[in-house]
Formats: sequence, structure tokens, C-alpha cells
Amino acid sequence: MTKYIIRRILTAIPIMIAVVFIIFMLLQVLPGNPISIMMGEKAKPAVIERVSRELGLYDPVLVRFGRYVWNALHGDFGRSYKLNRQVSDLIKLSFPNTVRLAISASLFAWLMGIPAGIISAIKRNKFVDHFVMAIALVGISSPVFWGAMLLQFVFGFKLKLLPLSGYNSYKHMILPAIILGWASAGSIARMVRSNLLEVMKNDYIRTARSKGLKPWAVVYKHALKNSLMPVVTLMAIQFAGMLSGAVITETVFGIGGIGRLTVDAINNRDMPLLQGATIFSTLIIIIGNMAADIMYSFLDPRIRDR
Amino acid sequence: MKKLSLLLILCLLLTSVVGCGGEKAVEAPAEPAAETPADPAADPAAEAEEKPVASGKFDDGYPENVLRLGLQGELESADVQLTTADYTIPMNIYDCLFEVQPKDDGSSEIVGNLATDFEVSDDGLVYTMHLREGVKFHNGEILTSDDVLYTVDRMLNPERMARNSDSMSMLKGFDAAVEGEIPTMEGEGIVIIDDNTFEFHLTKAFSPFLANLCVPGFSIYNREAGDAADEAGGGSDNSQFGVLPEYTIGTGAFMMKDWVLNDHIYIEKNPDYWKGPSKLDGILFKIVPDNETRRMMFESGQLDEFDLDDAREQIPYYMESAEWEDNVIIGNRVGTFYYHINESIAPFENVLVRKAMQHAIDKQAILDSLYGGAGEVASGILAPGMMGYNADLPKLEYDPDLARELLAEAGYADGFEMTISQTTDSPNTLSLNEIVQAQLAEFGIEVTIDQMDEASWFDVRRTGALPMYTTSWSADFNDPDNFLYSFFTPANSLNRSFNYYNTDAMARVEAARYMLDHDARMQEYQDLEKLIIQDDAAWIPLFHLKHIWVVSDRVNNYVPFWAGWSGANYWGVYLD
Repeated sequence: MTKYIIRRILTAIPIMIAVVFIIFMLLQVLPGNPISIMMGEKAKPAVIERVSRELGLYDPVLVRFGRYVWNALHGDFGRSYKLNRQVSDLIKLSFPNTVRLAISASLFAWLMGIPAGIISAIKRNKFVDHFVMAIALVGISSPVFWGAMLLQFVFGFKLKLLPLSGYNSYKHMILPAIILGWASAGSIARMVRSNLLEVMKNDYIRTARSKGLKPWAVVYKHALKNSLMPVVTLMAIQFAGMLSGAVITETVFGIGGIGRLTVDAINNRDMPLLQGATIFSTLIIIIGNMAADIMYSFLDPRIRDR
Repeated sequence: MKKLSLLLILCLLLTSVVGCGGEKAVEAPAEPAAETPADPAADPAAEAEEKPVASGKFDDGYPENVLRLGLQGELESADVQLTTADYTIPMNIYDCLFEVQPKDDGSSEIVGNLATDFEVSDDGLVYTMHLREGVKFHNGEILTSDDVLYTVDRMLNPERMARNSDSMSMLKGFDAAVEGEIPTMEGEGIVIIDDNTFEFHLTKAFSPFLANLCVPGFSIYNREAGDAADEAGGGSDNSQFGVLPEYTIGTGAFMMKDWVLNDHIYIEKNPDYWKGPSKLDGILFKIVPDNETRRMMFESGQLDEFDLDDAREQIPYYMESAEWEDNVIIGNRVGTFYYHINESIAPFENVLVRKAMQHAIDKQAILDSLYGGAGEVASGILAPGMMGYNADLPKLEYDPDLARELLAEAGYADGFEMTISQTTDSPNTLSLNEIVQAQLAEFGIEVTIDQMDEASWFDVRRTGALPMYTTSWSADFNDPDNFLYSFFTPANSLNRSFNYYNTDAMARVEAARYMLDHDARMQEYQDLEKLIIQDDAAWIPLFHLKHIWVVSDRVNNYVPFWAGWSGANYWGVYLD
């Protein structure tokens, strides 16, 4: 098992290096001087010139890459052009909110999605099944900003039950969690349902039934574990995706998370911040996938023996 | 064991993914800020968690007598030397030597602020400044001439990368200072006489100098505070000035208190403010990126002000609704919208074509349909409220017959094909361009709207090859030089892609900067404005928009500030 984990970690390293290189190069070939875009209409050419020179923007690209990697290895990801703070500090300040959002949204998704999927599978082709699957479909296909504004309007503006914006109490976390979790819950429910139905066709389920077990016990004790395996992968990837930022949810609800940080960096051509945030998100995704693989191997010994 | 499988899966998933650093990141902000002042990560989030929530009328945990304002995005920095746009917070925590005061008739004047008065030598090269006595910085230090020297030295130090250093380019020693050749301007551009008296030494008699000193970018800093902030960050390249509230020190009416990244900024009343303390306990700036969310927060009483710039389509609603019409505040923006015409692209080398364009576009119709009619049609360069603004400039009326006549005279009676360029991510600009496209089609002028990404747009513009485009300019400082010199010099005319041909006019714009007779200088600017816009038709002026806000019932004495930038000083505002 340990060997398997080490192998997975070792394969992640070259991926990470490649990602850093590709992101850096892509950002360098973008046209235009980031300082002139950042300063916009009011920029004075002489100031753009001086600031660009001071930031080393006129050095050859490989020199800049070397400097970036060297500094990054020393824990220095540079200073944001726009926000004038250390990139690592900006990520450190934003990530906790993203983690809170991801955990609350995932919990919502799991607590809603898994039971909904099970109920749907048990009541296959009954009204409950159609009803649950319809809601799941709405969850998956409705645009986040629409749902977000709707909930905000009803619960925040009209009923005044929950805050409209901000992120400094549990009350602030409810609406964003529902919005972000809803789509995930939908896909989880659909996946649980189809896997469970698949598993229920197996011989050992028939055996369990013929032993006289109650239907819920058949599902819970025998079918569920096997049917959850692919769902775990989905959940891990979804969770890692949420950790790399949920731009629309963060924007509508005014949450200072990684997603907004990244999008603002893109809009402002804030190279150091964009590099730092993208590398960080990549890292999260790699780790999320790795965690899913490792869990998989826990659940299914055949995988790690392969 | 089997029964626990589901729970186990969930827990594993959670801990393994978050364990990579997520958990640490959650806990990190809880460390006491005092022990790690150099770590900006530690402080603000911790305070955010300690705040009482949902108490009383507001759910943000701050006292009731706090003015609540919405900000669309995070500040570039509270160090005003590192921004050319985010002036609102600097205008409340720092002071400048002078300030612009709007007068009742819509014009404005420059009055003393941290400087009480000044004398200028006859040759216009030496300004002797007298500082107000006993002004205290937020850290208790008393303002002296040395603080002004520190402010200038800091701005010109190339390592600091100040975004507005060029505003001091007329000072003696400027070139050497920005190249890092001299460490201080003492004895060069600044000569300290005593604690409250010093001189600015200029290389040329630069008439807009005083107006330049009113720009928030030239807020006065304190040497001790600056040094402490540098030390906290481990050097001047990572100064915590403008980052951590406790190191961001000024003389202003409010003091930085809390700053939670992308969430809120709180500035509290300075009890020792030299004009007297504000009646507000503080100002809370909530960072709410979504316009509609901000509007809902305003209407539900969580914000005290809503800037209608962020919801222009709502202007008629607020202006006409019985609930809000008395709460609408209208101010001059001191800015002009216009089209640049690139004179090096045919047929715009022909002045008749350019003049025809000026009369072919119905500006009032655009103003009404896109901006709720909130503004006035422009006929020149300078905006109302600006020093030297000429209200008597002949109007450039919408006149289709005249436009047709001019086109025919130029040999384009059947029209021509042309391009308007814009950046991809500006829907407002696109609406404007589409209206103009439709209006020009009436004259047989076939317009293609070419959308480019912002970076390429700026790049092409710099080469002088960008076709016609629209943009706006608002005043940085109260002098016509700010408008005319930014456009009508050979370098700027090329940089901004309009290739104005009249070198004589541009030489006069340059010369006007150094005219010492104020009245003659203003007359010269008005003559130049007429020459450039009406005789040479170098621009198509569109309109001067009003700036409109709507405020909550409890807000009093909300006076629109004189500024092309949108910031304001809230010292005089009070709440019921």
C-alpha cells in the first residue's frame, strides 16, 4: 500500500513541473505589457517603462522562468502586480474561505445526493424516482448565477432570513453551500442511482434477498458499498474542483476565495498572482485525484495489486 | 466495520484532500497577530472570525453609527503611491497639501489643506510652502517638512515602483531620483527651511504645479510610519504600508482598522483630526463584486449608498420612484466621453469628413438611451467643473443636413467604409458603438466594429494604427493641462492613435504649461480647445456624464466631491 502511495506521489512531481512550465510560458506569450493593461487609460508611458524595467519584464523569457522557479523553490512566488502583496499571502488569506465553502457545499451535496440516489433506485420508475431525478436534472442544468440570485432574492432580500453577501458567520455559509452543492448533489444522485441499479442485478444480491433480508438491509449492507466506488471518484474530483475556486458563487455572494482571486488576476493580467493561483489550483486537483486513486485502492484491493 | 464504511469513505476523502494544507490554512489565521506582524495572513481573517454577527440592524458586527459603502473590487493598495484609481480610502485616511473645493456655481478652487499658504517666486520656479502646525499622524507623530520630503523621496525611489511618480517630474533632480542616482530630493527639488516651512524647486515655471499637489497620489506620509512598515515586511520591497492596517498611517479623518481581503475594509474615526473629529464612528467598505447584490444590499438597508454607475439602467427607476427620488445625489464627473478619429486612416485625413462625423452622430439620443439622459452633450474637451471650462463654446449640434453637405463637399456623398475598434469585454462600449453604427448608416457610412482583446488593443494603439474608438477621460487635477497635454502633444497623439496633424497647435499646448499669467493661460486653453475640436475636428466630443448616487434615508450632508476619479471624502457626512 505504502509503495502504491509513493508511486502515485512520484508521478505527480513531473506533472507539477510540466504545469509550472506551461503556465509560465503561456502567460509570457500573451500579447501586451501587463503593466500598461493594469494601469489602463491613466498610465503614463514613462512610468510604465520604469515599473516594467524594475520588475524585470524586459529580461529574456528563460531568465525570467529561471528566476521564477528559483524564487518559488525558496517559497517566494512574487508580489501581485495589482494587489501589491505577496502572492503566497493572498492565497493564504483566500484559501480558508474556499475550504469552508467547499466543505459546506460538499456536505450538502453528499447528504442530499447519496440518499436521493438510493431512494430513486429503490423506488425505481415510481413517482418518487421521477421526482427526485427531475430535481437532480434541474440542479445539474441550471446556471449557478441564476440559482444564486434567486435564493439571494428570496431568502436574503424578501424574507431577510439570511445575509445577502459576505462570509463571516455560519449564516453566510448556507446559501452558497446550497447553490454550489446543488449541482454536485444532482450528479451524485444520478450516479448513485444508476450504479445501485447495476449492482442490484448481481447474483449475490439475489442470494441476500433469498436469505430473507429486508430490502433496506440488502441495499445498505450489500449493494451500497460496491455501488459507491465510482461515486467516490466523482466526489473527490468535485471536491478538489471546488477547492480550486467557485468563481460565480464567490462573486455573487461576495466570498473572498481562490476563484475570485484567480479571475481578478486574469482580468488584470496580474502575472505573478495568476501563476501562483493556477499552480496552487493544479496542486489541489492533482492531490484530489491522487486521494481518489488511493481511496479506490483501499476499497478495491485489485487496483493496487495491478 | 462494514457499517462504518460510508462514514469512513467520507472522512477519508475529507481529511486526505484538506490535509494537504487546507487544514493548516484554515487554522493559520487564528495565530495572534501581535506575534507575527510581518505575516499579513495572520491578522485580518482572525478578526473576522471574532466579530459578533447579526446583532441589531446590521449583520456585519460593526456599530450602527458607521457609514456602510459598497466597493466593487478589492483595493490595489491603501498605499496611494501604488494606484492610479483606488482613491476612496486614501482620500479618507490621508491628506494632501492642498485640495480642490467645488463652488456653488459648479466651478472650483484650490484651497490649503495640510499647507496653509504658499508664495511663488516671480520666475515661477520656487514655491515656498507653510505647513499647518500641530497636525498629528495616526501614530501620534507631528507633521513636519521632513514628512513631505519623505513622501517625495519614497515616490521617486525606483524600487518602490510608484505609479504616479511622473506627477513630480517638474521638480529639480527628478530624473536623477527616478533613475536611483540620488537617494533624496533634499537640496534638489525640496529645500527644508524649518519644521513647518520648505521650498519646492522647479526646473521650469510649471503652472499646473499647485493643482498637481491636490491629487490623492500626493498624500503626505510619515517617515517613522513608513520605516516601521518597511521593517515589518523585511525591507522596502515588501513594505506593509498600505497592506496591514496598523502600518498604514496618515493624517486623515479616519484611520485604517480592519482589512479582510476581498471582504471588507473598516476605517474608524480619528479623534485627533485637525479639522475636528467626524460625526461618524467609522466607515465600513464592503467588497461586493456583483452589482445586483450590491443593489439588493442597498435597498435592504445593509449599505448606505449605491452608485448608479453600476446600474445605469436603474437611473430612471431611482430618479422617478417616490421612495428614492429625494435620496438621489447628482454630481459633476469632471470628465468627457469622446471618439478619437485616426487622421492617418483614409478618409479621415480630410477635415470635412471629420466635421461631418461630428454632426452626423446624435449625441443626445445616445445620452438618453444609454445613460438615462443624465449628462450634457459636449462640444469641447474640458468638462464642467474644470478650471478653464468654456460654457460659451459653440455647440456641435446634431445636424444631418450639414453632415450630408460636408460629406458631399469632401467627395463622399455616398458614404464610405470605416472601422471602429474596441476591446472585447466592454458591453457598454459595444452598445454605444452599435448605436453610432446605426446612426452613421443613415449617411451611407458602413461601420465595422472590430473587437480586440484588451492587451492587443493597447499594443496596436501604441503604434498609432488603431482605428476610431471611444473612451473617456476624467480629471486627475484641476487644470486644463491635465486634459490637453494628455492628448495633444506629438507623442501622446501617436500613443493614443489619433495622429493629430497640427504641430503648431501641439506646440502651443506645450507652451501653455509654462505661461505665468493665469488669465492669459486660461484664454489660451479656450482658444486651443476651439481650434483643436471645432476647427480641426480632431475628436468627436460626445457628452459629459453626471455622476449619480442614491443614499439611504439616514445619510446627511452627502456632498459630491470634486474629482474626476470617483472617490470622496466622507468627513462631513453624518447619520440620523
